[in-house]
Amino acid sequence: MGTAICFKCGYEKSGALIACRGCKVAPKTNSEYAISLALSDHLSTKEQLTQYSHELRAAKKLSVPREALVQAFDALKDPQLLAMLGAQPAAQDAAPPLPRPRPTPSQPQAPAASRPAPSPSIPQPIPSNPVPRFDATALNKSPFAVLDVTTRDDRRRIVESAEEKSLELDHELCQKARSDLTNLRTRLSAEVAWLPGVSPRKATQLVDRLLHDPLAIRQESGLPTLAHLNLMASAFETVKDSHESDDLAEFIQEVANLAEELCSEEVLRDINEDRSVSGFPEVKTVEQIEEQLSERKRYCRNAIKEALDRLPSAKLVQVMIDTVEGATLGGEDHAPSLIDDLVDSYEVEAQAPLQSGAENIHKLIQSAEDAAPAGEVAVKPYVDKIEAAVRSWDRIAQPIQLSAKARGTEHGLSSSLGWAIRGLAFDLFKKHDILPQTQRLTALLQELFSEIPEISERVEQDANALDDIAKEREEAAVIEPIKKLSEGIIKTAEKHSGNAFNDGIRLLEEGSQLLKSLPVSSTSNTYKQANNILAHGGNLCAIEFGNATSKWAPCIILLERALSLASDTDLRNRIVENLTVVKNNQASLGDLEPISSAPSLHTINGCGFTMYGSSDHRPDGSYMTTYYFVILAIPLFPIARYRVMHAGGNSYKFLGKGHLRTLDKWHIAITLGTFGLMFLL
Amino acid sequence: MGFLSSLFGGNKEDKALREALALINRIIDDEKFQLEHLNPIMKEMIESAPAYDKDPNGTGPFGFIETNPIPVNGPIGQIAYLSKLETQSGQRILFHRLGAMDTVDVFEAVSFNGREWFILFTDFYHPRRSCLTPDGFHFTKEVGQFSGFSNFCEDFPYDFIEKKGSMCDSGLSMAYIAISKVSDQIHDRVFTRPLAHKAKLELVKSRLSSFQAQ
Repeated sequence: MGTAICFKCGYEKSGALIACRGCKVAPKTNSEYAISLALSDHLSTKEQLTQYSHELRAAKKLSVPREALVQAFDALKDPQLLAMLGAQPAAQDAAPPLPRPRPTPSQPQAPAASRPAPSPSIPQPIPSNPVPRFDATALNKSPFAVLDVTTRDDRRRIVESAEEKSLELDHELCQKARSDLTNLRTRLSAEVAWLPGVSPRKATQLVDRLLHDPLAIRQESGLPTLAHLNLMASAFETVKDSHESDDLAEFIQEVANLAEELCSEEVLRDINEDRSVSGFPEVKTVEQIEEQLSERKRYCRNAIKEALDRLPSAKLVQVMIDTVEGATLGGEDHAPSLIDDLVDSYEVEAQAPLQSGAENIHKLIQSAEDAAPAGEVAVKPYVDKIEAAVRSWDRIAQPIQLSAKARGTEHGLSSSLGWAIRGLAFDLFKKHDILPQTQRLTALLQELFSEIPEISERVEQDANALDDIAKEREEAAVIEPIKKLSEGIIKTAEKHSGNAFNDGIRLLEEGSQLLKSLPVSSTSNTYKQANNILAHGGNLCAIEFGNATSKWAPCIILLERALSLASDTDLRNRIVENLTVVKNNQASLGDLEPISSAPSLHTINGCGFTMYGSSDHRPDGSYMTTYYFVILAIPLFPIARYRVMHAGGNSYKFLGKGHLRTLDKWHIAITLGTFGLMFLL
Repeated sequence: MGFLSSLFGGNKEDKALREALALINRIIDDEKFQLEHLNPIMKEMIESAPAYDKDPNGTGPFGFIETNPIPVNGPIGQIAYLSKLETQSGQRILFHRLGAMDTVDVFEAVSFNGREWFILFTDFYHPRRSCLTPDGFHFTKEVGQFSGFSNFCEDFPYDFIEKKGSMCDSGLSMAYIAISKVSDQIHDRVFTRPLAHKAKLELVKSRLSSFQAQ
């Protein structure tokens, strides 16, 4: 055990911090601990101890060097030592325990919760009510709090208090506090950072409460705005990483709203009221206050930012999202400027991860585009990765996007990334017809980039168009039986052209019935498409039948029914064109039989085949003529009738073969009868 | 040759070395083995005591105050536990016993580099040692060879080498760290107690119910 001098009686004792055997007094307060350590051989020589002993016994002022006290105070910051001092037994018959020293910024106290309970074997003083204490906040470190003076104390009281506190606290700290409060250049800053407009007594209570239950300050009402803001910002210093993120977001908004409501005239009035009592000259201009208020806002922002920096990254992002979402009503309203500043700081710090994340996503987009020619199977894994990466990326960017939307600006990085994803979606559909992945990317953009108006609008249009296409494709699959029916009947008609009319009719009737039974709306494009398929089949059947049989009347029926179903302009034009031809054929040829080649018109010495007569002239210049077997140019037997057109000279164009007239049949009968008589005679 | 000797069980020297190492490991790590060295009455008392990592009724910082001592298994388990501690800066500790407050033993400890000093409190009336460490410590990943003593060292830690030599009789000297680990620091006299530690020592010593020759 070392040698020490009792700080009370001046007699020697065996240890600095233990009770004196002479006067039974043990050090109890922080300053007594510090003085006791200074009065020990740990910090003083034997000669010095002797001198201190004389000084104490003669009730003289102690001549302990300040350096020794500084070292002692420094040693008293040791948490285990503080815990042990808290558990130290009181000396028997010792004087009643002095009140615990008021915590000061320079002497952090060990949390009361960590102090041990009295050991059953060691007599202990009755412990005071254990109250959890928090670290000193900026307000607790204010010169007003350090010197325990009020805004209404005059210069003399401040100087006296600084001298008194120097015995207990760090001398430099006390002198600086004194200087801050008596120097007019620095006093205003201290006043603005304190609790302007709050009575001294209430100010003391509020600052004390910061040490015990800092977050209860949020419930305070009726405080001047600046004082409330300073208290709230100080309380923010005590926020732990375990704090609920949604409550923290609300807390930030409360602070930001208070900062927004600051009124420099009100603060000027409050400060000058106190100065009129304290005797310090009044603040003349509101500009001085405004300058200080800007500083306060910076402090608030930093206090919030430091609290956020203490949070795990994921929680920090969540708090920022909740804060900006709440403050901007989902990006629809302007946020308080403090929150804008906070988001700006966040953006600066998030820039690097966002930039590198965006680069990675751009690489994935490129890979997806490269894989697209190989089809959806090759693209899907890349789209999976893109979706996961974009979701993570967007979470970090979300507060910035919301804030930008509320401010009417655009987050450049989000915008360029959004357009790049939209570009991929466009290419996947347009170039490679990969609809499902396109729709997936479009939905992702709608979900995550809704804060960027230009992208949001365009993507909404894309989504609608894609939905329509998807629906059409879905319905197209439904009308597949119509397609199959049509293809089957067309093939049959091509093989058996003579029966193509019946096939065409069957197609149109059965197809229409089938279409009605399918789950397709009669107003949809798919319904129209199905009718076009049927009309197309009917058209082909009509062509086959007409060409094969030259029976144009059935063709007209078929084509007219096909035309009634067709809605496609090209198809309708084709059918109408065919209908015109067929009607003309019907008009010009009627029921003439088609001929594969022109009949022989060859005669030798008036014997052979030739045509005589013309009747039934048509506007196209054609007419009916009779084909005869002639001998000596006398037409003996009419063989057939043809519709012909004179092609110049002795040439004719044979359009079709008609039936013999009754007159022609009589001609044959007369010729045969004549030959019969000649044979009998 | 090495391969063949390993194959056939090695030579006698290797075997002796392995046996010695196994014994050291048992001394350091085997909690039951550590209890076997005790007086039967004390052993029975310790084995019948509750086994826990931390006194459920303890208050104050774990291991740093007599009201919340570290539960350990007997005097050897106590040395084994403290020898496994490593500070956050990766320094193991030298320690010696200052005395006791009732059933709680008080140890003074210093990091191997002499920069950090501690007072630690243990309670060895438990069948196993705690799996927890006081704040600022973790268990070393090295073999926890003993680095302190369960009795008082007058010139701690400068008398570590002599004290280790005196452990030959107890049969535990082989379980101790190599002297080379601390000899340079001892030679350079780097171990100086800071003021706060001196104050703590005074407080503790004033409250010891039993103490060793000082």
